[in-house]
Amino acid sequence: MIYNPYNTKMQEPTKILSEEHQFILKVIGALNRECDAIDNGKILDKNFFEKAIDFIRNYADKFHHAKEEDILFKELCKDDVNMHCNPTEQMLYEHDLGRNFVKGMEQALKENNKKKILENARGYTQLLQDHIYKEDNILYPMADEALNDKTQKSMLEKFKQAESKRFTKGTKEKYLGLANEFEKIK
Amino acid sequence: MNELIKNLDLRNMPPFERHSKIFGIWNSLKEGETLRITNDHDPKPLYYQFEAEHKGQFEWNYEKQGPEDWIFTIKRISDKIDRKQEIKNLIKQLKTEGDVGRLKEKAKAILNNISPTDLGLIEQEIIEEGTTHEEMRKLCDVHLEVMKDNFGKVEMNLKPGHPIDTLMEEHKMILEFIEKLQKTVNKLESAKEFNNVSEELDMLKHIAEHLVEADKHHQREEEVLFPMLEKFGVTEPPEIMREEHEELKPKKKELYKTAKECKEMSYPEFIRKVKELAEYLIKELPDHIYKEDNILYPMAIQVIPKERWNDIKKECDKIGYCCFTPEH
Repeated sequence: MIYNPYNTKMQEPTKILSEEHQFILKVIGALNRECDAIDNGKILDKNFFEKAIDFIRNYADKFHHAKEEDILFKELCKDDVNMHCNPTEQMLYEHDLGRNFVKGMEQALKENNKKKILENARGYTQLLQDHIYKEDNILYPMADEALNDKTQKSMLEKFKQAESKRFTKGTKEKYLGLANEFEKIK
Repeated sequence: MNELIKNLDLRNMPPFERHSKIFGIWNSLKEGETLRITNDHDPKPLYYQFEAEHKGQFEWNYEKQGPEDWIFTIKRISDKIDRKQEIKNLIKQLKTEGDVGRLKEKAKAILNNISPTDLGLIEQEIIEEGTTHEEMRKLCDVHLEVMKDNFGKVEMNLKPGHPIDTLMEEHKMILEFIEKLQKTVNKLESAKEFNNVSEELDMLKHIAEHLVEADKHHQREEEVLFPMLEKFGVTEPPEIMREEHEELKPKKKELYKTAKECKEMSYPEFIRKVKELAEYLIKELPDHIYKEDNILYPMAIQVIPKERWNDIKKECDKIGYCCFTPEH
């Protein structure tokens, strides 16, 4: 039998998560550019990194990763979901690695340690780029195939609840606006 | 064909080594070569990684799906995306050239190594992107020319009674009728009047009757097989076959009518009509059958899951068979 899943259209929940990646990638791009600029003699702009950390902590982690960890990954790890070679463990591990880089970045800012700031920032961007690639291309398509319609619907509902519980009105818009601003910094 | 298969057993390999090993071998594979892997679980992540990074360059087949071992093959095929562009260019040239023969060599190079399923899928994408039906049929004709040159026959190894096997057996019978038609028309042509050809007239009637009788064959295709193909994403080839059926049907009926009512016209008029209709059928029917036998049916076997064929058979039984259908 040729293995050929014709339904390659993304399901709603993973589509939402994948769209959030796009905003995270905007900030990651800006971080990379900022690191390069510093290497080329630009003076360290603490405010830039503080804003980036704020975005990563609140949007990438609290808003986005939490939806994955509390909702999507939980569904994927349920007994009746026929997932072979479940990649969620690796994804969770990568989320933790990311958190460590952010902590390192924050500490280095306090210490005014330029080298350490760049190390942690670059570590984070590289990790997240790879991580997002894996989720968009491997984990999400697998989830789309493994989870039934009913689960998909209930996940959407849980997404909404999680968002309103964690974010007050306007907060999401604030961070999306921030990501767009970051994108403009060349 | 010189096909090479490389075997790889992942079962006793540490997980972190597996992917790099697989991609190492994959990168060394040449077109047409296959990597055959034995594993202790269904490697879905690997499949999606291939989908993301090598889309259109590989064919993934399961030989065994659990519960303990999974065996699957990853075959390197030439890039479908490039193929698609080549085929699009070919269609453009066909439009301006018009003459199929002159483009045959070029088409050969492009179409030769492509599997019917891939071609079908590419055709569909091209149609969705706005190529007209008429242009696509021209491509279909060139493809046919190329395939005939290669004497390429697809072996499907079907058991007698399989719905596709029955359709193919019926094709053989229809081709025999076509052969007889040619002989009969030759004889009729050498005669000058209705006297002395009563045997040939009976034969003509007999043949025409059986060609019309093939309607049950078309019905099984159009009402059972084609909808099933469409369900599994193959929409373009059945559409072309349907159109050909529509074009063939009136000619067959007309031939039957002419044979039955021959005495109502003059002999020269009768011969002119029979010749015209027979020439059409003698050319078009074998072409149509060839396309179905070598393109459409192999596609059906590939895309329709095994367990569906029982139901297909039942639906076919409901419609019924032709009087000339061999055992089914």
